[in-house]
Formats: sequence, C-alpha cells, structure tokens
Amino acid sequence: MHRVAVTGLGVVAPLGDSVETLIANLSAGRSGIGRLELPESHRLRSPIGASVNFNGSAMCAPAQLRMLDRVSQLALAASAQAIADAGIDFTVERRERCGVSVGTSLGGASTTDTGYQTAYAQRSERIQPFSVLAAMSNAPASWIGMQHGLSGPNLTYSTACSSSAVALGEAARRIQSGETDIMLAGGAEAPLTFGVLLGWDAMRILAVVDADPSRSCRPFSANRTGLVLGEGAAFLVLEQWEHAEARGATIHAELSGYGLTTDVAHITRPSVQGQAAAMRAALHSAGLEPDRIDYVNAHGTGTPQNDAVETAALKEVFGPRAYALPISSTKSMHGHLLGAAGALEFLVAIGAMERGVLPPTMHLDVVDPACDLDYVAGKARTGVAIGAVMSSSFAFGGTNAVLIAQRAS
Amino acid sequence: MNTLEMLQDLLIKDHSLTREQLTPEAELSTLGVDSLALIELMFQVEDRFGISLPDDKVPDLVTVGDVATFIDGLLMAAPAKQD
Repeated sequence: MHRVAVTGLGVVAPLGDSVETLIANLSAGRSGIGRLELPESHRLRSPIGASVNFNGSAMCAPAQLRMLDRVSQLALAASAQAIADAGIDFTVERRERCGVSVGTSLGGASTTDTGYQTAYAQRSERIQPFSVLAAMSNAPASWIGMQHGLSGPNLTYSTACSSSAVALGEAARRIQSGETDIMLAGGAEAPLTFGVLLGWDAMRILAVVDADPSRSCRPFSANRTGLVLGEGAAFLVLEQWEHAEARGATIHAELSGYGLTTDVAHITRPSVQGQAAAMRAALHSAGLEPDRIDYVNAHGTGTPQNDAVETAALKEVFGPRAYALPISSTKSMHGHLLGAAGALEFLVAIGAMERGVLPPTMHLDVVDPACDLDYVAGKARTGVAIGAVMSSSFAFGGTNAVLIAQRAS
Repeated sequence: MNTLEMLQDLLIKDHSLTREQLTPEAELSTLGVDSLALIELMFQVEDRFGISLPDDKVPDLVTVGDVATFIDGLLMAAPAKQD
C-alpha cells in the first residue's frame, strides 16, 4: 500500500479565501457568521449564515460563468489554489493517473432555486438551458477535471454533512491502491439561497439568532440552539508519497487514517456507537493507538443532540484520556459547510498541526454537564506540539467519516 | 437597429466577443456558441422582439447570418412590437 501525502491546500471559505487568512482568523477567534441579506431572507426564522465574499467573474469569462452554479465557481477557485500550492505541472504528469474526488450535499442548489422561481413564481417555461448542467451534483468535479485535464477517475460523493470527508477518504484509497498518482479531493457547498434555507428552517435545527448574530453558533455550550449554515470550498492535493518525494514537493502532512461507518437507526439522530466505530476505524487504518492523537477537530455542529452524542463517543474511544485531549469545533466561527465541511475542517486540522496552534471553540459560554471535555474554549492555544490530528464528520443519513493526518516525516 | 446588429449586441454581452468577430459569415461553433447557448440566445430574441419561436426544432443554424435570417423570417411571419 502506498502512503498518501497531502501536498496542496486550497480554500475559499467564510473568514478567508486563502489558507493563511483562514487559519489566522480562526486562531484569532473571529466569526464569519452574520445576518444574511438575501432576497426573501426576512421571511426566515433564522436569517443568518456564513457567506463568502466571492465573485466568480474575476476568475471566469462570462460565457463559462453562465454555465457555472456558485458551487462550481467556489470549487474551481479552491482547487486551483490547492494545485498552485502543490506546485504541480500537470503537463508533465500522466493525466490518466490523476483524478478528482468531490463531496457536495446539495450541488447546484441556487440554480435549482432559480429554475423553480421561473417555473412556479413567474409561470414561465423558459428555464435556463444550462440549468441541468449547472445544477447536477457532479458539475464541480467535472469542471475541475476539464480545467486541468485530469482524465483519471472523476467522482462525486453525496453523503450530506460527511460528503467531502468521504471524498477525501475514498480518494486516498485510490492512491493507496496504486491506481492513481494524484487526486484533487475536497468539497464545495453553496446553500445560502432562500429555498434551501427555508427547508433547513423547517427542521427547527438552525440556531436562534443571537443579539450579536456572530455569536449564534455555540457548540458544546449549554445554551447552544442549533447550527448555522455556511458556504465555501476546500480542496487538498493528495499524492502518492514516492511521487511527491520524487518531484521534490513540500509535504504538509500524511493522510494516514480513514474510518467509515453508518448508523442504521434513524435518518437524523446521531449514534454514539456509530460515531465511536468510525473513530476507531480511522485509528485502526492509521495504525495508531488513541493516545497518539493530539487534537480533534470535532463535528461539533452546535445542535443540542450532536454535541452531547459526540462527546460521549469521544469518551468511549479515548477513555480517560478524552479529558486531556484538546477538541474544538471551528463551526462556531465558519459555520456548517455541509458537504464541504469535512474537507474544510480536515484542512484546518492540518493547518493547526503545521503551526502548532489549536483553533478555539468560540462562544462556549455555559458549561453543559453532558459536554465536559477540553474544547479549547474561547481562545486559541499556541506552541502545542502536534503529531497527529483527527477530523470527524457525521451526517444525516448516518454516514460517519473520520480522517486522520500525521505530521510529515 | 437591424437584426444583425441586435444579434451582435446579445452575443457581445454574453460571450465576450467583438463586433469584428461577429460577421454574418462567422460560424457559431467557431465562436464558442454551442447548441445550448443558441437556445438561450433564442429566449433573449423572443423577449427582445416579443415573438414566439415555433415549438418545433430550430433549423440548423451555422453562421451568425443564418440566425439573423431566421429571425427576420419569423418577424415577417408574425409582425410584432418593435421599438
């Protein structure tokens, strides 16, 4: 089995359109969550979100831009950054051994939303001829593949909130097996449209708007009220270790562990056993004992149920050491990017390991007896020696995906 | 404004093309205007001239001039509001 090197990182997210800016903002405890100014957003119970200041017209010609939903625009921007960071010149690569693996939960949601407005609200039959191609879930992966001429596997995974963790894990497997040399893997999501938000609002799972909207997402705090949706994309270049070394690449980390399990109990309710099993499977695939993990970027959505269940699962896997293990939910700052969350948070965890800085869980105001671990509350921790990190993603539908990265050596 | 100029304006706006490229002889495929872009263009033509395109398929239109001639034919058949 080949080892998997992470040689490139790219991100367009709330709080940063570069890895450097994002990590600096998270380390400073800044929040990217705020009131949304969208058409009709005043009709929402919870008109807040974590949006990205991004305009695709700086990147694409108008003719191409019209074919791209925002989710594909974000994906193209973040993946191009990751390739630039990796310093890869695909013209000298065997492109049929280079692939793309993308996670997205909702795909081109705003295109679908606009199409329905045309059809139902305006009672017009003239839906944009590009609608199907812009809205299809595999559009981001296809555009990335075309942009860079990557003719190996081109895959899209949609497992709700764990989509991009699955996309990374499955991509890593294709490198481990020797099938591919390079996989561009990550996630993208653009859910901030009225139609989508209304659906989430209806589930009564979104956070109640705080007097200071930027403080609305409070993972692990007793006064947490729900999650806050965000948009963005995060991509990693995964590369066969020997291939990366041979071209003299800078290796950020080794993707060494991937665990995948499924709750088969309830469509939304999380399960301690399912989450714990995914963490154990990731540790097993990395060949690590639990005590080797120095930081966990938690799923930590800020819903009453998830955070208590995740805490219990962490205790089950890590035992007494769980109390000494730094865990944080950066969703308190960048919101929940759904299908892009797993890739974004794995990238954040790698960034933390490289810099020795643990990003905090913000807005943890009130201790919850059911959440009694070390959540790095309120303030980043610096100068920490980190050898291995874990990033967890647990989804509606029950797909639990956990990734582990280790310091490159 | 004649039909060709109107057509040129629409294509310049949406496809980053120049008037010099959009001669009557210029082929749509060479300009990057594919079949889907042509449908979108026809929606705009309908709005611009207040006409409805026939439900059956648009005939094979190869050049910019073909499109202009096709639109002119529709306008003659169904005189509509013009500004």
